[in-house]
Amino acid sequence: MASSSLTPVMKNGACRNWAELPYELTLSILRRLDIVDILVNAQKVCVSWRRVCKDPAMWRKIDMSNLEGFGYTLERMCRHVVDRSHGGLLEVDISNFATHSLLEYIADRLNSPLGITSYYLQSCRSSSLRSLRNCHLSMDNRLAEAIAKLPLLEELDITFGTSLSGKSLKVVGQSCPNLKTLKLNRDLSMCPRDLRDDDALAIAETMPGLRFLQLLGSSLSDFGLNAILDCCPDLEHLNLRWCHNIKLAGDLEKRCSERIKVLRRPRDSADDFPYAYAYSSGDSYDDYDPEDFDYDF
Amino acid sequence: MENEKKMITLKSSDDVTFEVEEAVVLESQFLSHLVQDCPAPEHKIKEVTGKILSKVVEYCEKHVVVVVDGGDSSSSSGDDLKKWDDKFIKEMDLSTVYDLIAAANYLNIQALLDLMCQRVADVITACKDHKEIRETLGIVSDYTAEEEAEVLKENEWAFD
Repeated sequence: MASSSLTPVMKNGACRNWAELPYELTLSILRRLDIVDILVNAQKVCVSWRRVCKDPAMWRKIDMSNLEGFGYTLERMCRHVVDRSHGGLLEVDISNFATHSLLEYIADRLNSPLGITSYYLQSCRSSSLRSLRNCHLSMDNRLAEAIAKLPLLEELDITFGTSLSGKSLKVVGQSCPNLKTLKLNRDLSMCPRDLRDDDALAIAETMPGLRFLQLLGSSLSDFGLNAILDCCPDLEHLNLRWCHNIKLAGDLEKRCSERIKVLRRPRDSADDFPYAYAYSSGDSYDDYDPEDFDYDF
Repeated sequence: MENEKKMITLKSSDDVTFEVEEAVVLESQFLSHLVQDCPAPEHKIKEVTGKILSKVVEYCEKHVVVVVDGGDSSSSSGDDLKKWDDKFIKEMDLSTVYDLIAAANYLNIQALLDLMCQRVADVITACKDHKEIRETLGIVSDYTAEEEAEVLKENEWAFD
């Protein structure tokens, strides 16, 4: 019966006026499109669609993680839609082309002095900071300053980025008291095999609300881990893959397994980590066995 | 006595009747309130035709059964439901989708509304440009020539 009603006229929808669908319903359809389809196609269709596409409600979540193209074009596009959000942005994913200046742009728009009070950036994933890996200290400070403008940040992902210094991380922690998820995954190809607990101590000191913590390739030791466990009572998920200074000595192993619901130890499989491929190729630790380095320090 | 299921009759705008279990009606927030506030055995829904109401009932019956059965094997029944949804929308022409969006909105059935809106979004995504979107959805451009030129120019930055 269904197939008999599929006349050509019905198929192309010509007997219903889609341009006259109520505004909220049109918005519910169009906000499911990706950003390029909205900007390049949908808003050109008719006047009512154009009005919907300019509505800040269309731009609460900006997911540009799957877009391909020149970073410069993507960045301009991102700035354009951030403007359209009028400060109402809830989530932004700019994983593939994040730069400090873009992050600053977003942060400044959210804090625009226009009197909009409901703005906040819930999830700011900027995993491509590796392109700035040589700009150590000043970039750390700059990033921390940009993040400091996002006081309601709940999730921060700096995968493959330059590691923040403990001091910058403290600025982040102090500025973002709602932080629940922190991913501070180092680029192993440039990760020194030193032992440093300043990141861990900054986390322990300033981020007591953490529930989810990824520290792949981090140089913290059992000492730093103990401090985190002492100070972050809500921690449920802890990923310590490739943290070769972690020995889980004494009762630390027991303490972790009792406290943490999802625990990844330094030598556990990283199959659940989406960027595992990058860690298992090139000059990273694909042949790495922590036992080999037991006596390095 | 508890096993005896309460039945409710829904009547469409063109007087087609559907006898459904109360649990099915509860999928719709609008109908839940209607049934609670007005405990009559039959409810007329003036805004929805028989053709569309039959689709709504089909959808709600499928979804209510799965939720009740899905206690211990929720993931597999979730997959089955997804397959069922895919088939449900695949067979549907866009006019029916349009009417179902209006009906799901009126009856306040969020999951059905989401499913239908996503279907239209997928149709739009499959179009190569705004002209094809107009053609597919039967939309006539209401831009003046000047406005259209301006709109087309606006996003040139996206391509440079």
